[in-house]
Amino acid sequence: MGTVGLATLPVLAVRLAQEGFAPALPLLGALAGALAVEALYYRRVTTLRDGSALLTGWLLGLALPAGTSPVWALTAGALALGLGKLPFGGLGRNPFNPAMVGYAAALLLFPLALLDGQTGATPLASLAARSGLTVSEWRATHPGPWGAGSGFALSLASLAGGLWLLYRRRISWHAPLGYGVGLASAALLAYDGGSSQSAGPPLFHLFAGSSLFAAFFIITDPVSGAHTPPGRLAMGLLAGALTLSFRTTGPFPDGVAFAVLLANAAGPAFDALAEARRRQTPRV
Amino acid sequence: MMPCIHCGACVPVCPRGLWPQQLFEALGAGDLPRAQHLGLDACGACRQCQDHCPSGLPLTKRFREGQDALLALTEAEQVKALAQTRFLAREQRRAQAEAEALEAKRQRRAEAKRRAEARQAQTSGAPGRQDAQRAALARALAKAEAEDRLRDATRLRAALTALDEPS
Repeated sequence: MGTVGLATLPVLAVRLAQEGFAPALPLLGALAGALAVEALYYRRVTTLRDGSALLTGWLLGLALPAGTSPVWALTAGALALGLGKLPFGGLGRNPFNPAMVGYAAALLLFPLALLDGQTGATPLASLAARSGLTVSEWRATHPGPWGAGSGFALSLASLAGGLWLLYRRRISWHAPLGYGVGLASAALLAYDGGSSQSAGPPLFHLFAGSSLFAAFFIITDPVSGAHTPPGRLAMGLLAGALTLSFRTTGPFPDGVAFAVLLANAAGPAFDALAEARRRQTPRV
Repeated sequence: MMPCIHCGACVPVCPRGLWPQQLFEALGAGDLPRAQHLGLDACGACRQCQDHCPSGLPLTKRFREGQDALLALTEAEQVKALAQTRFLAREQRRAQAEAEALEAKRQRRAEAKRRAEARQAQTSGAPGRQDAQRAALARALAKAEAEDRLRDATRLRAALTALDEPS
């Protein structure tokens, strides 16, 4: 789990470079909330040694907007562990990604604390609120490749960390590939060439918001969702397609957390299908 | 030893292409059919999965135990099948013997009936049998009188009269 934490360091570095010290406060808050709830639940500090609560708090803290107050971040971290992991039996048993449980709970329980914390409009939010502009007109006022703006550098940082994890064999390629293909194909199907109703081109969706962060650090959580290689591929595909669906028709600009949670819920079904379709005698 | 977090480190290292983490889960739940479907028989206990498990789980040990359980189950089933075959064969033999005994009894009865009818016909049609009896009694009476066995003579005389009376 330390390796996964190390792989997110480029993301943290880019955020600190772009937004100053601000993202560190919610990060520390989420970490404190996650660690405190885990230690209080087991009434031991040694339980923190496996690093799972630390990683959950870390990933959640990285996902929270810079302006989120540390108190709300701490609450989100506590909810992540208290709702997403501990009630299911702790390490290795949670069916949903705890960090995304915390994020989704925070977004639904205190949305203003998170949305007000956004420093400036994100590309996803401004694309959603572009009122009558075609995609190319909107692009003209937005910097960066595919209009992904400042998020593009973050996505590259996620990509770098994720590729390193793949190289180190800490994650399998199934879920990230599924997520990318699912998101890109859904975006391609929804893209009509750039009219004012269009949802944006596939490459924009891959590099905007938290797509690549989710593809390499969230949907790759080994515990939650599917456990078999084909199951993970299918879960990634579903999560990617759902992400676009939440972005285009959902109430929030981005919808990675909800997409991941729904795909996690479908994980055991994908596993059952994968096991049932498996050839009876594996290669000898 | 930590719980299985399904990291999947065991999946690419399995030389038989199994999914050790799924197999481990199935055996932990005591689901032998699922374990068999996942290829429990193919596990050669090479310990690759166990050596790569970051949680230090005893995967190979559990697979061995599962294979033993499967073997014991197969043997028990074979013994059961053999016992059933024997029982069914014995039941068939018993039923056949019973049917044969019944048939023999029926034949004996028919034979006895046939004989009785023949005897009936003999006694009513030709009284030779009664005459022979009477002659034998008379011979025995004469002999008893000649030898002066009075009690025997009285009994034989009574028998002779009894033979004559009902007819």
